[in-house]
Amino acid sequence: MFVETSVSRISKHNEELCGDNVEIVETEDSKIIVLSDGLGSGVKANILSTLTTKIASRLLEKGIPLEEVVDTITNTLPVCKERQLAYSTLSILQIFNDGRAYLVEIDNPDSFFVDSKGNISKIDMKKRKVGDKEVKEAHFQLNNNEMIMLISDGVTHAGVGGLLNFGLGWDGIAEHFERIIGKYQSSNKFAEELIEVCNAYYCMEPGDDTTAVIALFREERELILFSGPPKNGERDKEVVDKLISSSGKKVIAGGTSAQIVARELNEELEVSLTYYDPEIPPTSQLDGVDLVTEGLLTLNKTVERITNVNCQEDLPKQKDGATELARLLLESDSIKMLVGKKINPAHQSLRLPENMAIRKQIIKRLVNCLRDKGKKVIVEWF
Amino acid sequence: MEIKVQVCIGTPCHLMGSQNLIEAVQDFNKKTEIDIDVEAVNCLDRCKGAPAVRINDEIYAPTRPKDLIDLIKDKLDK
Repeated sequence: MFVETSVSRISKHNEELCGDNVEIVETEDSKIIVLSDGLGSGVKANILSTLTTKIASRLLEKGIPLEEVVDTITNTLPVCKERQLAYSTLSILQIFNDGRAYLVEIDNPDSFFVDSKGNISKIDMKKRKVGDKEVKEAHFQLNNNEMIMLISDGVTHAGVGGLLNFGLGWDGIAEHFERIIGKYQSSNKFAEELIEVCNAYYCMEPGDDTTAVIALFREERELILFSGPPKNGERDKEVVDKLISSSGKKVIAGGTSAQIVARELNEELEVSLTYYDPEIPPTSQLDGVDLVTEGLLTLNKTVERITNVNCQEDLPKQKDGATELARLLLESDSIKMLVGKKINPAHQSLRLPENMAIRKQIIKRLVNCLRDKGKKVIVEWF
Repeated sequence: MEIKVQVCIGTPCHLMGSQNLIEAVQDFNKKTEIDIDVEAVNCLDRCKGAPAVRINDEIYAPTRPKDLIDLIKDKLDK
Protein backbone atom coordinates (compact mmCIF):
# COMPACT_ATOMS: atom_id res chain seq x y z
CA MET A 1 0.00 0.00 0.00
CA PHE A 2 1.03 3.58 -0.56
CA VAL A 3 0.21 7.01 0.83
CA GLU A 4 0.00 9.55 -1.98
CA THR A 5 0.24 13.14 -0.72
CA SER A 6 -0.37 16.47 -2.42
CA VAL A 7 -0.22 20.05 -1.22
CA SER A 8 -1.77 23.09 -2.79
CA ARG A 9 -1.76 26.60 -1.40
CA ILE A 10 -1.98 30.33 -1.97
CA SER A 11 -0.61 33.11 0.19
CA LYS A 12 -2.56 36.02 1.56
CA HIS A 13 -2.84 38.78 -1.02
CA ASN A 14 0.17 41.09 -1.11
CA GLU A 15 2.20 38.94 1.25
CA GLU A 16 5.47 37.59 -0.03
CA LEU A 17 5.70 34.67 2.32
CA CYS A 18 3.03 32.14 3.17
CA GLY A 19 2.14 31.97 6.85
CA ASP A 20 1.08 28.34 6.51
CA ASN A 21 3.66 25.58 6.43
CA VAL A 22 3.55 21.90 5.51
CA GLU A 23 6.13 19.20 6.17
CA ILE A 24 5.88 15.61 5.02
CA VAL A 25 8.03 13.04 6.77
CA GLU A 26 8.59 9.40 5.87
CA THR A 27 9.50 6.86 8.48
CA GLU A 28 10.14 3.18 7.88
CA ASP A 29 6.52 2.20 8.15
CA SER A 30 4.53 5.40 7.89
CA LYS A 31 4.08 8.80 6.32
CA ILE A 32 3.50 11.84 8.52
CA ILE A 33 1.97 15.13 7.42
CA VAL A 34 2.39 18.23 9.55
CA LEU A 35 0.41 21.40 8.84
CA SER A 36 0.75 24.64 10.76
CA ASP A 37 -0.88 28.05 10.37
CA GLY A 38 1.06 30.93 11.93
CA LEU A 39 -0.85 33.67 13.70
CA GLY A 40 -1.24 36.72 11.48
CA SER A 41 0.41 36.71 8.09
CA GLY A 42 3.65 37.40 6.26
CA VAL A 43 7.13 36.93 7.64
CA LYS A 44 6.18 36.53 11.32
CA ALA A 45 3.53 33.94 10.59
CA ASN A 46 5.88 32.12 8.27
CA ILE A 47 8.56 31.90 10.95
CA LEU A 48 6.08 30.71 13.56
CA SER A 49 4.53 28.05 11.39
CA THR A 50 7.88 26.90 10.03
CA LEU A 51 9.27 26.52 13.54
CA THR A 52 6.26 24.50 14.58
CA THR A 53 6.32 22.14 11.63
CA LYS A 54 10.08 21.72 11.69
CA ILE A 55 10.17 20.92 15.39
CA ALA A 56 7.29 18.48 15.05
CA SER A 57 8.70 16.75 12.02
CA ARG A 58 12.25 16.49 13.39
CA LEU A 59 10.95 14.90 16.60
CA LEU A 60 8.79 12.50 14.60
CA GLU A 61 11.67 11.61 12.31
CA LYS A 62 13.73 10.69 15.35
CA GLY A 63 11.06 8.21 16.29
CA ILE A 64 9.50 10.06 19.20
CA PRO A 65 5.94 8.73 19.48
CA LEU A 66 3.33 11.06 18.07
CA GLU A 67 1.47 11.39 21.38
CA GLU A 68 4.65 12.58 23.06
CA VAL A 69 5.39 15.04 20.27
CA VAL A 70 1.91 16.49 20.58
CA ASP A 71 2.34 16.93 24.32
CA THR A 72 5.78 18.48 23.97
CA ILE A 73 4.76 20.99 21.34
CA THR A 74 1.49 22.00 22.94
CA ASN A 75 3.27 22.62 26.19
CA THR A 76 5.97 24.67 24.50
CA LEU A 77 3.95 26.45 21.80
CA PRO A 78 3.82 30.06 22.95
CA VAL A 79 0.46 31.65 23.45
CA CYS A 80 -0.29 35.23 22.60
CA LYS A 81 -1.13 36.88 25.90
CA GLU A 82 -3.52 39.36 24.39
CA ARG A 83 -5.49 37.09 22.14
CA GLN A 84 -5.17 33.92 24.21
CA LEU A 85 -4.42 32.03 21.01
CA ALA A 86 -1.49 29.76 20.25
CA TYR A 87 1.07 31.39 18.01
CA SER A 88 0.47 28.73 15.49
CA THR A 89 -1.98 25.95 14.87
CA LEU A 90 -0.91 22.37 14.38
CA SER A 91 -2.32 19.33 12.64
CA ILE A 92 -0.49 16.03 12.37
CA LEU A 93 -1.67 13.04 10.38
CA GLN A 94 0.26 9.80 10.56
CA ILE A 95 -0.68 6.94 8.23
CA PHE A 96 1.00 3.57 8.58
CA ASN A 97 1.56 1.16 5.69
CA ASP A 98 -1.22 -1.05 6.99
CA GLY A 99 -3.74 1.80 7.00
CA ARG A 100 -3.72 2.64 10.71
CA ALA A 101 -4.11 6.39 11.03
CA TYR A 102 -3.68 8.86 13.84
CA LEU A 103 -4.91 12.43 13.45
CA VAL A 104 -4.31 15.33 15.80
CA GLU A 105 -5.76 18.81 15.35
CA ILE A 106 -4.97 21.87 17.41
CA ASP A 107 -6.86 25.00 16.39
CA ASN A 108 -7.19 24.04 12.71
CA PRO A 109 -10.59 23.52 11.04
CA ASP A 110 -12.05 20.00 10.90
CA SER A 111 -10.46 17.72 8.36
CA PHE A 112 -12.30 15.92 5.59
CA PHE A 113 -12.64 12.18 5.19
CA VAL A 114 -13.51 10.80 1.75
CA ASP A 115 -14.36 7.13 1.42
CA SER A 116 -13.70 5.02 -1.68
CA LYS A 117 -17.17 5.79 -3.04
CA GLY A 118 -16.65 9.55 -2.77
CA ASN A 119 -18.74 10.18 0.34
CA ILE A 120 -17.39 13.07 2.38
CA SER A 121 -17.66 13.31 6.13
CA LYS A 122 -16.10 14.70 9.28
CA ILE A 123 -13.91 12.51 11.42
CA ASP A 124 -15.03 11.67 14.95
CA MET A 125 -12.50 13.35 17.19
CA LYS A 126 -11.97 12.99 20.92
CA LYS A 127 -11.15 16.15 22.80
CA ARG A 128 -8.64 16.45 25.60
CA LYS A 129 -6.80 19.24 27.32
CA VAL A 130 -3.04 19.53 27.23
CA GLY A 131 -2.09 22.47 29.37
CA ASP A 132 -4.37 25.30 28.23
CA LYS A 133 -4.98 23.92 24.82
CA GLU A 134 -7.75 21.82 23.43
CA VAL A 135 -6.35 18.93 21.45
CA LYS A 136 -8.60 16.91 19.15
CA GLU A 137 -7.46 13.44 18.21
CA ALA A 138 -8.65 10.32 16.47
CA HIS A 139 -7.35 6.82 15.81
CA PHE A 140 -8.90 5.03 12.86
CA GLN A 141 -8.29 2.60 10.02
CA LEU A 142 -7.96 3.63 6.39
CA ASN A 143 -9.04 1.33 3.59
CA ASN A 144 -8.01 1.26 -0.06
CA ASN A 145 -8.79 4.48 -1.97
CA GLU A 146 -9.79 6.53 1.04
CA MET A 147 -8.62 10.13 1.42
CA ILE A 148 -8.05 12.63 4.18
CA MET A 149 -7.77 16.36 3.54
CA LEU A 150 -6.25 18.74 6.10
CA ILE A 151 -6.86 22.45 5.69
CA SER A 152 -5.92 25.77 7.20
CA ASP A 153 -8.73 28.22 8.02
CA GLY A 154 -8.05 30.22 4.87
CA VAL A 155 -9.99 27.44 3.13
CA THR A 156 -13.12 27.52 5.26
CA HIS A 157 -13.02 31.33 5.26
CA ALA A 158 -12.82 31.47 1.48
CA GLY A 159 -15.01 34.33 0.34
CA VAL A 160 -14.66 36.54 3.38
CA GLY A 161 -13.84 39.95 1.96
CA GLY A 162 -14.82 38.56 -1.44
CA LEU A 163 -17.96 36.89 -2.65
CA LEU A 164 -19.39 35.58 0.62
CA ASN A 165 -20.03 37.13 3.99
CA PHE A 166 -19.10 34.26 6.22
CA GLY A 167 -16.90 32.23 3.92
CA LEU A 168 -17.56 28.87 2.28
CA GLY A 169 -17.35 26.98 5.54
CA TRP A 170 -16.73 23.28 5.96
CA ASP A 171 -20.00 22.40 4.24
CA GLY A 172 -19.34 24.67 1.28
CA ILE A 173 -15.96 23.07 0.70
CA ALA A 174 -17.44 19.59 1.09
CA GLU A 175 -20.05 20.45 -1.56
CA HIS A 176 -17.40 21.51 -4.06
CA PHE A 177 -15.30 18.48 -3.28
CA GLU A 178 -18.26 16.17 -3.86
CA ARG A 179 -18.84 17.80 -7.21
CA ILE A 180 -15.34 17.00 -8.48
CA ILE A 181 -14.87 13.57 -6.91
CA GLY A 182 -15.18 11.52 -10.10
CA LYS A 183 -13.23 14.02 -12.17
CA TYR A 184 -9.64 13.14 -11.33
CA GLN A 185 -7.33 10.29 -10.55
CA SER A 186 -4.63 12.03 -8.54
CA SER A 187 -4.88 13.88 -5.24
CA ASN A 188 -2.83 16.65 -6.81
CA LYS A 189 -5.69 17.70 -9.07
CA PHE A 190 -8.24 17.71 -6.23
CA ALA A 191 -6.07 19.89 -4.01
CA GLU A 192 -5.29 22.26 -6.89
CA GLU A 193 -8.90 22.69 -7.92
CA LEU A 194 -10.20 23.25 -4.39
CA ILE A 195 -7.60 25.96 -3.77
CA GLU A 196 -8.54 27.52 -7.11
CA VAL A 197 -12.17 27.57 -5.99
CA CYS A 198 -11.14 29.32 -2.76
CA ASN A 199 -9.12 31.83 -4.75
CA ALA A 200 -12.15 32.52 -6.92
CA TYR A 201 -14.36 33.17 -3.87
CA TYR A 202 -11.67 35.53 -2.59
CA CYS A 203 -11.88 37.28 -5.99
CA MET A 204 -8.20 36.46 -6.50
CA GLU A 205 -7.23 38.44 -3.39
CA PRO A 206 -7.03 35.85 -0.63
CA GLY A 207 -7.79 37.29 2.79
CA ASP A 208 -5.60 34.68 4.46
CA ASP A 209 -3.06 31.99 3.65
CA THR A 210 -5.01 29.08 2.25
CA THR A 211 -3.62 25.55 2.31
CA ALA A 212 -5.01 22.10 1.52
CA VAL A 213 -3.09 18.85 2.02
CA ILE A 214 -4.49 15.56 0.79
CA ALA A 215 -3.38 12.06 1.73
CA LEU A 216 -4.74 9.26 -0.46
CA PHE A 217 -4.30 5.67 0.79
CA ARG A 218 -4.08 3.29 -2.15
CA GLU A 219 -2.27 0.33 -3.64
CA GLU A 220 1.35 0.87 -4.52
CA ARG A 221 2.14 1.13 -8.23
CA GLU A 222 5.38 -0.35 -9.50
CA LEU A 223 7.07 -0.16 -12.87
CA ILE A 224 10.10 -1.83 -14.40
CA LEU A 225 11.93 -0.34 -17.40
CA PHE A 226 14.49 -2.09 -19.59
CA SER A 227 16.68 0.08 -21.81
CA GLY A 228 19.91 -0.78 -23.59
CA PRO A 229 21.32 -4.23 -24.39
CA PRO A 230 23.52 -5.77 -21.66
CA LYS A 231 27.24 -5.42 -22.32
CA ASN A 232 27.58 -9.19 -22.15
CA GLY A 233 25.04 -10.93 -24.37
CA GLU A 234 25.03 -13.90 -22.01
CA ARG A 235 23.12 -11.79 -19.51
CA ASP A 236 20.27 -11.13 -21.94
CA LYS A 237 18.19 -13.96 -20.52
CA GLU A 238 18.78 -12.80 -16.94
CA VAL A 239 17.55 -9.29 -17.74
CA VAL A 240 14.50 -10.50 -19.63
CA ASP A 241 13.61 -12.83 -16.75
CA LYS A 242 13.85 -9.92 -14.32
CA LEU A 243 11.65 -7.82 -16.54
CA ILE A 244 8.94 -10.40 -17.06
CA SER A 245 8.84 -11.79 -13.54
CA SER A 246 8.29 -8.44 -11.83
CA SER A 247 4.82 -7.27 -10.80
CA GLY A 248 3.52 -3.93 -11.98
CA LYS A 249 3.93 -2.26 -15.36
CA LYS A 250 6.62 -3.40 -17.79
CA VAL A 251 8.24 -1.05 -20.27
CA ILE A 252 11.01 -1.41 -22.84
CA ALA A 253 12.73 1.66 -24.28
CA GLY A 254 14.90 0.78 -27.24
CA GLY A 255 14.63 -1.13 -30.52
CA THR A 256 17.52 -3.48 -29.88
CA SER A 257 16.35 -4.07 -26.30
CA ALA A 258 12.86 -4.88 -27.58
CA GLN A 259 14.26 -7.37 -30.08
CA ILE A 260 16.19 -9.10 -27.29
CA VAL A 261 13.03 -9.53 -25.22
CA ALA A 262 11.02 -10.70 -28.23
CA ARG A 263 13.69 -13.27 -29.04
CA GLU A 264 13.94 -14.60 -25.47
CA LEU A 265 10.17 -14.84 -25.13
CA ASN A 266 9.73 -16.21 -28.64
CA GLU A 267 7.07 -13.54 -29.27
CA GLU A 268 6.40 -11.29 -32.26
CA LEU A 269 7.31 -7.64 -32.07
CA GLU A 270 4.84 -5.54 -34.01
CA VAL A 271 5.97 -2.04 -34.87
CA SER A 272 3.38 0.64 -35.48
CA LEU A 273 3.56 2.86 -38.55
CA THR A 274 1.87 5.80 -36.86
CA TYR A 275 3.84 8.94 -36.02
CA TYR A 276 1.79 10.88 -33.45
CA ASP A 277 4.69 13.33 -33.14
CA PRO A 278 7.23 13.62 -35.97
CA GLU A 279 10.08 13.87 -33.48
CA ILE A 280 9.24 10.61 -31.77
CA PRO A 281 9.51 7.22 -33.47
CA PRO A 282 6.43 4.97 -33.31
CA THR A 283 5.87 2.53 -30.46
CA SER A 284 5.64 -1.25 -30.77
CA GLN A 285 3.50 -4.03 -29.34
CA LEU A 286 4.85 -7.05 -27.53
CA ASP A 287 2.69 -9.54 -25.66
CA GLY A 288 3.35 -9.31 -21.95
CA VAL A 289 4.85 -5.81 -22.09
CA ASP A 290 2.78 -2.68 -21.44
CA LEU A 291 4.78 -0.28 -23.62
CA VAL A 292 7.64 -0.56 -26.11
CA THR A 293 9.24 2.65 -27.33
CA GLU A 294 12.36 3.64 -29.22
CA GLY A 295 15.34 4.43 -26.99
CA LEU A 296 17.19 7.64 -26.47
CA LEU A 297 15.19 10.11 -28.52
CA THR A 298 12.02 9.01 -26.74
CA LEU A 299 13.65 8.99 -23.29
CA ASN A 300 14.95 12.49 -23.87
CA LYS A 301 11.50 13.76 -24.74
CA THR A 302 10.02 11.85 -21.81
CA VAL A 303 12.23 13.80 -19.40
CA GLU A 304 10.96 17.01 -21.00
CA ARG A 305 7.33 15.93 -20.67
CA ILE A 306 7.73 14.93 -17.03
CA THR A 307 9.58 18.08 -16.02
CA ASN A 308 6.82 20.26 -17.48
CA VAL A 309 3.92 18.90 -15.43
CA ASN A 310 2.85 18.34 -11.82
CA CYS A 311 1.10 15.05 -12.34
CA GLN A 312 0.14 12.67 -15.13
CA GLU A 313 -3.26 14.28 -15.62
CA ASP A 314 -1.58 17.48 -16.78
CA LEU A 315 0.19 15.70 -19.64
CA PRO A 316 -0.97 16.53 -23.18
CA LYS A 317 -3.60 14.15 -24.54
CA GLN A 318 -1.18 12.65 -27.06
CA LYS A 319 -0.39 9.07 -27.88
CA ASP A 320 3.27 9.33 -28.85
CA GLY A 321 5.89 7.16 -27.15
CA ALA A 322 7.26 9.90 -24.90
CA THR A 323 3.87 11.00 -23.58
CA GLU A 324 2.76 7.40 -22.99
CA LEU A 325 6.00 6.65 -21.17
CA ALA A 326 5.76 9.86 -19.12
CA ARG A 327 2.22 8.89 -18.15
CA LEU A 328 3.20 5.42 -16.96
CA LEU A 329 6.19 6.77 -15.04
CA LEU A 330 4.22 9.55 -13.33
CA GLU A 331 1.48 7.10 -12.36
CA SER A 332 4.01 4.83 -10.64
CA ASP A 333 5.37 5.15 -7.11
CA SER A 334 8.48 3.02 -7.41
CA ILE A 335 10.46 2.44 -10.56
CA LYS A 336 13.19 -0.07 -11.29
CA MET A 337 15.43 0.43 -14.31
CA LEU A 338 17.47 -2.30 -15.98
CA VAL A 339 20.02 -0.50 -18.13
CA GLY A 340 22.50 -2.14 -20.48
CA LYS A 341 26.02 -0.85 -20.93
CA LYS A 342 26.56 -2.07 -24.49
CA ILE A 343 27.61 0.89 -26.59
CA ASN A 344 25.45 1.49 -29.63
CA PRO A 345 27.83 2.56 -32.42
CA ALA A 346 25.05 4.68 -33.85
CA HIS A 347 24.96 6.90 -30.79
CA GLN A 348 28.63 7.75 -31.14
CA SER A 349 29.07 8.14 -34.87
CA LEU A 350 25.93 10.02 -35.77
CA ARG A 351 25.73 13.77 -35.45
CA LEU A 352 23.01 13.79 -32.82
CA PRO A 353 21.03 16.93 -31.88
CA GLU A 354 22.80 19.25 -29.45
CA ASN A 355 20.88 18.40 -26.29
CA MET A 356 21.11 14.71 -27.07
CA ALA A 357 22.85 12.72 -24.38
CA ILE A 358 24.13 9.19 -24.56
CA ARG A 359 22.47 6.52 -22.55
CA LYS A 360 24.15 6.96 -19.17
CA GLN A 361 23.55 10.68 -19.12
CA ILE A 362 19.97 10.42 -20.27
CA ILE A 363 19.21 7.74 -17.71
CA LYS A 364 20.71 9.93 -14.97
CA ARG A 365 18.54 12.85 -16.07
CA LEU A 366 15.46 10.65 -16.09
CA VAL A 367 16.25 9.26 -12.65
CA ASN A 368 16.77 12.73 -11.21
CA CYS A 369 13.59 14.18 -12.65
CA LEU A 370 11.61 11.20 -11.34
CA ARG A 371 13.11 11.54 -7.87
CA ASP A 372 12.22 15.23 -7.97
CA LYS A 373 8.64 14.15 -8.46
CA GLY A 374 8.85 11.98 -5.34
CA LYS A 375 9.28 8.61 -7.05
CA LYS A 376 11.50 5.88 -5.63
CA VAL A 377 13.97 4.88 -8.34
CA ILE A 378 16.48 2.01 -8.41
CA VAL A 379 18.83 1.45 -11.34
CA GLU A 380 20.58 -1.81 -12.12
CA TRP A 381 23.34 -1.70 -14.70
CA PHE A 382 24.22 -4.67 -16.86
CA MET B 1 5.38 -10.69 -57.53
CA GLU B 2 5.27 -9.79 -53.92
CA ILE B 3 7.39 -7.04 -52.46
CA LYS B 4 8.06 -6.64 -48.80
CA VAL B 5 9.52 -3.33 -47.62
CA GLN B 6 10.70 -3.00 -44.04
CA VAL B 7 11.75 0.48 -42.89
CA CYS B 8 13.86 0.72 -39.76
CA ILE B 9 12.64 3.27 -37.20
CA GLY B 10 15.47 2.89 -34.72
CA THR B 11 17.21 5.94 -33.28
CA PRO B 12 19.65 6.90 -36.08
CA CYS B 13 17.31 5.77 -38.86
CA HIS B 14 14.51 7.89 -37.42
CA LEU B 15 16.84 10.89 -37.37
CA MET B 16 17.79 10.21 -40.98
CA GLY B 17 14.13 10.45 -42.03
CA SER B 18 12.49 7.03 -41.86
CA GLN B 19 9.09 8.72 -41.47
CA ASN B 20 9.49 10.29 -44.92
CA LEU B 21 10.51 6.95 -46.40
CA ILE B 22 7.45 5.24 -44.94
CA GLU B 23 5.13 7.95 -46.25
CA ALA B 24 6.74 7.77 -49.70
CA VAL B 25 6.20 4.02 -49.93
CA GLN B 26 2.61 4.32 -48.68
CA ASP B 27 1.89 6.99 -51.33
CA PHE B 28 3.54 4.92 -54.05
CA ASN B 29 1.53 1.89 -52.98
CA LYS B 30 -1.72 3.78 -53.64
CA LYS B 31 -0.61 4.49 -57.21
CA THR B 32 0.53 1.03 -58.35
CA GLU B 33 -1.34 -2.15 -59.15
CA ILE B 34 1.09 -4.33 -57.27
CA ASP B 35 0.54 -4.67 -53.55
CA ILE B 36 3.54 -3.56 -51.50
CA ASP B 37 3.73 -4.90 -47.99
CA VAL B 38 5.24 -2.04 -46.00
CA GLU B 39 6.25 -2.49 -42.38
CA ALA B 40 8.23 -0.65 -39.75
CA VAL B 41 10.90 -2.58 -37.86
CA ASN B 42 12.88 -1.85 -34.74
CA CYS B 43 16.46 -2.37 -35.84
CA LEU B 44 18.14 -3.76 -38.92
CA ASP B 45 21.58 -3.51 -37.36
CA ARG B 46 22.87 -1.12 -40.01
CA CYS B 47 23.17 1.97 -37.84
CA LYS B 48 26.21 3.37 -39.65
CA GLY B 49 24.34 3.14 -42.94
CA ALA B 50 21.16 4.85 -41.74
CA PRO B 51 18.41 5.03 -42.89
CA ALA B 52 18.13 1.27 -43.36
CA VAL B 53 15.43 -0.35 -45.48
CA ARG B 54 15.06 -4.05 -46.25
CA ILE B 55 13.42 -4.89 -49.56
CA ASN B 56 12.62 -8.60 -49.67
CA ASP B 57 15.94 -10.01 -48.47
CA GLU B 58 18.40 -7.24 -49.10
CA ILE B 59 19.19 -4.20 -46.99
CA TYR B 60 19.72 -0.81 -48.57
CA ALA B 61 20.46 2.72 -47.37
CA PRO B 62 18.34 5.05 -49.53
CA THR B 63 19.27 8.65 -48.85
CA ARG B 64 16.07 10.18 -50.15
CA PRO B 65 12.49 8.93 -50.52
CA LYS B 66 12.94 9.13 -54.31
CA ASP B 67 15.92 6.75 -54.07
CA LEU B 68 13.81 4.23 -52.18
CA ILE B 69 10.99 4.40 -54.74
CA ASP B 70 13.56 3.89 -57.54
CA LEU B 71 14.89 0.81 -55.73
CA ILE B 72 11.36 -0.57 -55.41
CA LYS B 73 10.61 0.10 -59.08
CA ASP B 74 13.83 -1.71 -59.97
CA LYS B 75 12.75 -4.77 -58.04
CA LEU B 76 9.33 -4.71 -59.63
CA ASP B 77 10.80 -4.60 -63.12
CA LYS B 78 12.88 -7.73 -62.59
